[in-house]
Amino acid sequence: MAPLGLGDELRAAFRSGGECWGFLCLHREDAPLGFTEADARLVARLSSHVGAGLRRAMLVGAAGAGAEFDAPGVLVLGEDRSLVATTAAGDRWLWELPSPEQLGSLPLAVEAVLAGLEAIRAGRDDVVPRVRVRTRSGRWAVLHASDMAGLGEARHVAIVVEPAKPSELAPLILLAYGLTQREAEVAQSALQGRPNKAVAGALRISENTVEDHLKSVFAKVGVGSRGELTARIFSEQSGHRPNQLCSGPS
Amino acid sequence: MAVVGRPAARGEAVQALAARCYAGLDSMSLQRELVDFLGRNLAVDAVFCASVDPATLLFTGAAGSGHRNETGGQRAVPRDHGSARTRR
Repeated sequence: MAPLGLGDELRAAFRSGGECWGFLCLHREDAPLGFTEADARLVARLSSHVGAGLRRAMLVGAAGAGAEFDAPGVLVLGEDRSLVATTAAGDRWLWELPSPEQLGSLPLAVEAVLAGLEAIRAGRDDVVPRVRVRTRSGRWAVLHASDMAGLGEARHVAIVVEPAKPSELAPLILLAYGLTQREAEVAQSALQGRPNKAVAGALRISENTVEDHLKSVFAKVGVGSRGELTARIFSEQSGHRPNQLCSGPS
Repeated sequence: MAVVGRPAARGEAVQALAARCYAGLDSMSLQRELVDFLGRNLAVDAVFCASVDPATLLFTGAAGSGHRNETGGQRAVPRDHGSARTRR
């Protein structure tokens, strides 16, 4: 980091429920001794709480006002990350995506999928650069980036922005409610309308275990039935949902 | 010692921020409070905090402070760290 004028560095991942929900990077310009163990302990003390907070924050957003369009949008960026072209829907999505206050002109989600694409090009990663993000109006969008071909020498990138499909969003929402992986699997099967017997068969567990998992799912999500669970999870997609997450650590 | 403030006061500040993590804040508000806390309680020159999509570890939102966010080098941090995955 020295070329950027940044000295010693301290990083942390914010985890909760076995997943990573955030990331922290601290820098000191001129620190001969670097970050101390006390510094690291302080960040470590906070990290699980911040992880839980960021996880729960996935369920907090604006109340789904406006933004009634559903068309996928396309953004075309040049090699220098300048915006070369957009579709009409792409232009609307640009306004919908949250932008960093001081960190640059492109929405951070756009920067993120570009970084993911660069990581694939460099062979550092093989995960498709996709990101699910809550928009300014509270609904969820998915972005994915890919290289374009056939436009001459210059390298262009196409970024598609579209409303998140329930099947893409449900796993994220279920994890945000603090469900375990197994509970999330049971819940997703239930959301697909499968009866308990079918869920048990698919997951190779007993029906009683399915019922126990569903009880835990209902308690964590704050609902009392499969119907309410379905309504709650799918209402998250549009941002039209109650906000009741103000309880203590879990 | 790089940690700023008396230990007792610092411990209270940590507890207060931890409580805020369960107060139903939206992601940006929580990140701003974290950045502000770190600026007041650790002697740091730059802070970058991001929320990520847990499936891909790509950033979904970010907050930061420090001179690098106010100069020509401001885009270096998110561009360099566009994903937590790339540096893990």
